[in-house]
Amino acid sequence: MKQTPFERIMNGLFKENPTFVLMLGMCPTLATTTSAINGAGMGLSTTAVLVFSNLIISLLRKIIPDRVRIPGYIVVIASLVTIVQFLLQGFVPAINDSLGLYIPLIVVNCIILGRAESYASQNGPIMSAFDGIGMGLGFTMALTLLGAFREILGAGTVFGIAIPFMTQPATIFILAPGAFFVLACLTAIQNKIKNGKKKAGLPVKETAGCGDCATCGKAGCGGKFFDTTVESK
Amino acid sequence: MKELLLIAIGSAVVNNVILSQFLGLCPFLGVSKKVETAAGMGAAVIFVITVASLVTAILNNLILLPLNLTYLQTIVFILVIAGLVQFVEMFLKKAMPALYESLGVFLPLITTNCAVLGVALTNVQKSYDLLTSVVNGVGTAVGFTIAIVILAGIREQMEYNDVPESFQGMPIVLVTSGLMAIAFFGFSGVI
Amino acid sequence: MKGIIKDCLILFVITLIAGAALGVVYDITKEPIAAQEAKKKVEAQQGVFAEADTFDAVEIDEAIASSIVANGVTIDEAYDAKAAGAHAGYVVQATSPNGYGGNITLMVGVTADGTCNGYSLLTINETAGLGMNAKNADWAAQFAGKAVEAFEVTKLGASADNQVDAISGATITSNAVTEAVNACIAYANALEGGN
Repeated sequence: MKQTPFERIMNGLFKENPTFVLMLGMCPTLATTTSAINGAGMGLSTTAVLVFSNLIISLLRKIIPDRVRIPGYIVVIASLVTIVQFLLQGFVPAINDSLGLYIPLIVVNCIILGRAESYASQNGPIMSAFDGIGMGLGFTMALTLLGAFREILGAGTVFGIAIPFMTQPATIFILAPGAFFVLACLTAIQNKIKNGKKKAGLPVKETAGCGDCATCGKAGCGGKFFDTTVESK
Repeated sequence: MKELLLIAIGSAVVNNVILSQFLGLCPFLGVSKKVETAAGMGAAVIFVITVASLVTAILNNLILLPLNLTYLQTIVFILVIAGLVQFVEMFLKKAMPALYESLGVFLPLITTNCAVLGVALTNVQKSYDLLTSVVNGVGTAVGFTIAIVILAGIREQMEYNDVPESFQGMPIVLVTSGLMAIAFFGFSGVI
Repeated sequence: MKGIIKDCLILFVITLIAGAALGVVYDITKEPIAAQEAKKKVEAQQGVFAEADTFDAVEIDEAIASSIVANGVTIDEAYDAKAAGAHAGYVVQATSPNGYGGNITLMVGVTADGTCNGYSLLTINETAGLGMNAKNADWAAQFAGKAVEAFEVTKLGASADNQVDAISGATITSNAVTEAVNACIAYANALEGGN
């Protein structure tokens, strides 16, 4: 399929949604979805980092030597994350307060390094930026949905607005175990769809997922930091 | 001394790094099929986190703070951790081949284990001194090991269970982790 | 060998540029961040002392402060709250290190006759859904409008003026908040007594 900016965004939102389909970046997904607004804040912060890291890495893709590309990417990503952290502290302190430690931890989010390695390092800057927007929005959508879901069940509110008939919320959905349960149901639904497709004889794209870290490993997260065995091109 | 003990217990069980802070989920879900490998991963994590929290605490207290460069924390820490892991791997390979055999495969996976960076950043945020940082690091890593080994034990038993089709694989593991998280709530009265 | 040196050099240049860029952003955002923190403080002061219009910082008397606090609680700042130029009471800021997720810093307004106006939280990092309920206006209201020496947390339903219900499932947070509030009240009363 020809790659257009629109196709890239749709790809990130639906076809290769980082959370629901690729299952990347599970740590922030579980930790920051205690409310819809937190999920959205985390998603948008990650999007900002993702767009600029894709853009910069795509621009630098011919300059960064293959052997030291992972440290190079990490430097770019870590600087962007710190910049985003400062901007949040200065202009949206409420988000910064509620996300706290998880803002600097965007650095180790598999999605960002994964997209840098598998897309931005091979494509032009404009398409890479749009890929970042798509992936970022897909992530934001997923986190906001999960956050809203947990907030409704756990606190009886959504975006802080009380829902009239939810008078007896089950706090456990906001607590740590709730995160695991919600995600479990989500992956179960995903399995169900996949199994259905398999039975119907349709081809199923295996999602390696963060579960076995294979995608991460391939994408460079788990790979060697200083690549001492450069493959000959 | 009492405070150090409290910090160690707190980071190991009460605020368990996986079950209440969600750091290091990748290896937790990925390398927990067998108790043996889970224990290996745990040992590697204990090793790396201890060294990493020592090194990052030294760097932060002796270089970044005096020079007023605290805004470089994230970037410095992640580079140090990533470099450190690789260095440890090379060192083990040369010096202790036996240990490398058992831990080696897990080491590259640790670079992106957010628990390592998480500990380094928590130490800074709570302005722990050198000793406290290391104690907090060891506690966190031990907590990681406890959680992953227990999960692996449960998963080994679960092999023979009749799990609903859609819940096979990752979903049932997540449900198990959720139940473990509830169990770990019981520790919250300890401190 | 030459290749490695070149690679490292490029990596070094990238790191240098990134570091420099960070320094620039840090400098630019330094002021907004400081402004935000100052704004947060002013909002907190007004939140606990709506009648007052000016807040003059009072120097902390370490001797008094250390004589009234326990459990590692610290008195950070104190302000003389004035309404139309006349002394109306004090706003005191204290930090309790005994929260579930670390430090809890809050401000308490105490009027000249010793009535607690309630607290506003500056730093809190408790568990969402449990300890974070300390932010909840309903819970915080238990402290407001009462003239007592010190509050105490109860799990059996508050029956006296100086009792507050613990947040369900978050006794540690309730205790930490209450001890910080008590330290503030005690310090404000000490200041008032000194006048």
